[in-house]
Amino acid sequence: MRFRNWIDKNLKYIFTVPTVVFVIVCIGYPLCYAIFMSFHSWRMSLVEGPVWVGLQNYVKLLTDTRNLNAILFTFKYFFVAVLFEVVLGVLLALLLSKIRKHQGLIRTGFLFPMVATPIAMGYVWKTMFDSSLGFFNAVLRLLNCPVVNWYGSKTVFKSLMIMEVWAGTPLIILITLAGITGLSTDIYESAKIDGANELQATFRITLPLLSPTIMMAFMLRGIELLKVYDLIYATTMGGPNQMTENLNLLVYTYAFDYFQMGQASALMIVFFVIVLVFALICMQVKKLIEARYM
Amino acid sequence: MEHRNINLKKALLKVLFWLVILVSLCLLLIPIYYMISSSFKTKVQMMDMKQFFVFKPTLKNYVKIFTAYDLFTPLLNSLIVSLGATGLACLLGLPAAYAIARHRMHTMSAIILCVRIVPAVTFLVPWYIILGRFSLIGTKTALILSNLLVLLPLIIWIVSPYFGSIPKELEDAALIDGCSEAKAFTRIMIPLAVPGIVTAAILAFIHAWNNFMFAYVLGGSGTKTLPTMLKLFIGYTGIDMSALMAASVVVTMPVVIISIVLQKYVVSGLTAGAVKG
Repeated sequence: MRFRNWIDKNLKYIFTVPTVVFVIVCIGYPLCYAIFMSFHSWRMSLVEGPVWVGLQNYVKLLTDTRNLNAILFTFKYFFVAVLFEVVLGVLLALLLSKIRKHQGLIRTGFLFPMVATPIAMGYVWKTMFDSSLGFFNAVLRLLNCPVVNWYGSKTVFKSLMIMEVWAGTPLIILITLAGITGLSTDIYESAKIDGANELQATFRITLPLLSPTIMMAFMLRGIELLKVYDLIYATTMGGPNQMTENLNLLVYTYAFDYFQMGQASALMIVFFVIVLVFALICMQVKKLIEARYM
Repeated sequence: MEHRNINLKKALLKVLFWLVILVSLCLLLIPIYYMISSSFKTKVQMMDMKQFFVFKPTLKNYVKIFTAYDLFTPLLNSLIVSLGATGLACLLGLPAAYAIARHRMHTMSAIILCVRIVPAVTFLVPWYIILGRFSLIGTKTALILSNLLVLLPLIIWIVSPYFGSIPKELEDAALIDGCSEAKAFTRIMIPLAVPGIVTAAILAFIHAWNNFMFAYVLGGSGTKTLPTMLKLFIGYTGIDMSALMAASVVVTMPVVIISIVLQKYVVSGLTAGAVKG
């Protein structure tokens, strides 16, 4: 009886303790370990332990061209992809919201790119983009156009963007659609009475009201874009000549190909901070937008 | 005269509208159609454009991937790891989500959100070192634990609002009737939050099934999961294209079918938190 009472009194702690323990042991501790490792140099050998190198790993981040290129490419990938995905996504969502029926069918259609295993789709795209046997070049040959080396240095970024926009736009569309259906129709009615046409209604009413939703979609998608891995791994592996290497891929390479644990940890911490700062900025902006329009 | 011009404009806009939608749909479907149709073709048929739509299907690829490449064990491993990780995440996460929602533990909530945002690779390197010390690399335990890392915050994040939206009066009524808070949780809160729990569980399963990075680094020869097997089809002599397509179908179809059948839950989960209720 006393045991039961004790459980009830402390229920909120009992319920959260397993999760807290997990977070501390499996997330907090490894994170501290990573920070610790970033100040050392270690090659995973059992004979030679980690050697203190201070800020050397971090300095290498700013001086080594490969590291700088990876950081720049991560941002480039993010900017271009998010621009296309958000613009296309919102536009398509606005168009699709005009279709009264078959909303369920639309949702079904857009589900596939969102849930299909990214690495599998990466390999499908790789096959489609193949220079000699692929689908796209076969179509070009059929139209008597010159074939393209889709993963060559000139066009590899465009190919990556095609794959990424295909995979990422549906999420933006679905989130925006959900936002549109959540808007009340009262404002539109009073706008119509005031003489606004369709275009004005869309740009002056719908988009501003949707901005918190779009901001959220932007943040969710942006975080995924900064962290992208499977798609690049399956298709270019960071090539050609490390042109398409992003932070995630580089950390991986340092850690599991070269076993330079110290350098990998330092890069990892920087990567982590970048994503965290991005998310925090997005949330602040969202709060500002909501304060303005709500 | 003016009336006809307006009608013409409207008609043109309508045509443009449907054209954009149709083109988008086609672009969306091309890789899907290519993947599925190629899985029933031979390599030669795949390269022949005349046989793009009309061709003689063959099951050779599917037979090959299960016999020559042995995808059975990875399929089973994927299932075990995904179900195990999802189950454990629910076991740990549901009570935590309830506590966070009921007692408004904002700091916990913030920590969980941070874990969700952070790139998984940040934990992968320390985990690899630590798990290596315990000789756990290559075991299913390592895979389940590492997936739990990602799934637990996901489940808590999706389910907390559901618990929060259940009116406190129901709970209070149960407590007045002599029910303990723990019993109230299991007998009342969980059944009422089932839509949210199902949503979270499905999304968690999809996440675990699709996971490549963890399985590749922490998996061993006997514990390979399905996504990691795809690399096998790319050899030095060339890509076994048709078999790769069949394998891709096998990898993606389970989660796609689940998503289509339970799309109501999947969509609400993916858009969770994005739209102001």
